Amino acid sequence: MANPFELVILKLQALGFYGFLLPFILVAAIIYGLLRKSQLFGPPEKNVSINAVVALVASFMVWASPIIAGISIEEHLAKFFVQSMVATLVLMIAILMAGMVLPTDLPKFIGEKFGTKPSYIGVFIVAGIIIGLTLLVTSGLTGVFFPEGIVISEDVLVGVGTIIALLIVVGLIVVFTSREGKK
Amino acid sequence: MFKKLGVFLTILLMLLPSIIFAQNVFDPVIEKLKNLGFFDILLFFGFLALIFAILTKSKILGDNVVINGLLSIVLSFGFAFIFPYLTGFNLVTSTTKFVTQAAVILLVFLFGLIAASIFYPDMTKTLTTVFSSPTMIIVMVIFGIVLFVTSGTITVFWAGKEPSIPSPTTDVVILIIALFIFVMMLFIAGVVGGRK
Repeated sequence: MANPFELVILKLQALGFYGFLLPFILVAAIIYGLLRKSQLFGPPEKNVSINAVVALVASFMVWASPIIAGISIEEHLAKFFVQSMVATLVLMIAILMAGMVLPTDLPKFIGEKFGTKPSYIGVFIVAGIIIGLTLLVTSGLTGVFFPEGIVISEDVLVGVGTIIALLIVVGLIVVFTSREGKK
Repeated sequence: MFKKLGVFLTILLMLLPSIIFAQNVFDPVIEKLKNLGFFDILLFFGFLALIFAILTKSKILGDNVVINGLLSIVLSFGFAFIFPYLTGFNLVTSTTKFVTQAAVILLVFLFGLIAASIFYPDMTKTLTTVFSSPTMIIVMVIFGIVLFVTSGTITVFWAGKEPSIPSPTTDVVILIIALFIFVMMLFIAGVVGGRK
């Protein structure tokens, strides 16, 4: 007998729940939230309708993208979320393991050690974005940018590799120079 | 209470055949809406909201709602209906690609911030104290321009004419994106590392 969850998921997939409805809700929420937070069009309480119209138009465009632009993100989005959840889990486990040897009240300890140093914040944000970009590639969401598929030559791979190496070197230089500057 | 329940039951009843037979309800709806020109109208409303908000906020023509509204209606009508008609440029397709790509990039950034926020309890406060420099705006503007190129919206500038510049190959686009990410990281490192 089939698993009831499996049945429901398959039914919802056949209905277009993951390919259309979820991206629509997700994009509407993200864009509306960012518009409210950035206050791009003024105070959010005075511009509810403008923020809502912009968010809705954008989300309707994403909703229609599989038909209009031929971009289907259903499978890639699922992969992206699962992979990002695993990445977050790895980070959480790392912190938990660090909690074995570090003093109690870990958030306070982290706040004290890293909170006042902007260089650490930069490193964490850059690391987070690099993980995000890696997930973008591994989940196949790059297909949104290259719907016809990517054929990368060896030269380009070497070029991109060099850029990544440069990036790591620059990051390390920034961290160490800022640390030296503090001494 | 009963009214809400009635609306809910009506929607459920309408969706019931597709739920039972598990047919994709969105595919034919979008196709139909596309043929009806719904997305052109949607684009019109999007432009209308944007132009009206910009005019109201900048107060270039004052506070008068009628003047701002009229101008936004005329301009958005021109952008959404007259321009595609005159040039044959499909604004809906390129805007759809642009918005979808921007949404994916937003997701990546969101994940980056969520991952970093594991180490910082109040990430919003931390971000506002660290990224107070206007350099971030420049970085994001460059990001917008990159999306403008990758989504193909840039072709709006030679809409209706024969393209004189051949479109770049995938290799070149990847190199440009990688270079841009490198510059962006450099900016972030510079902004954060340069702070005392």
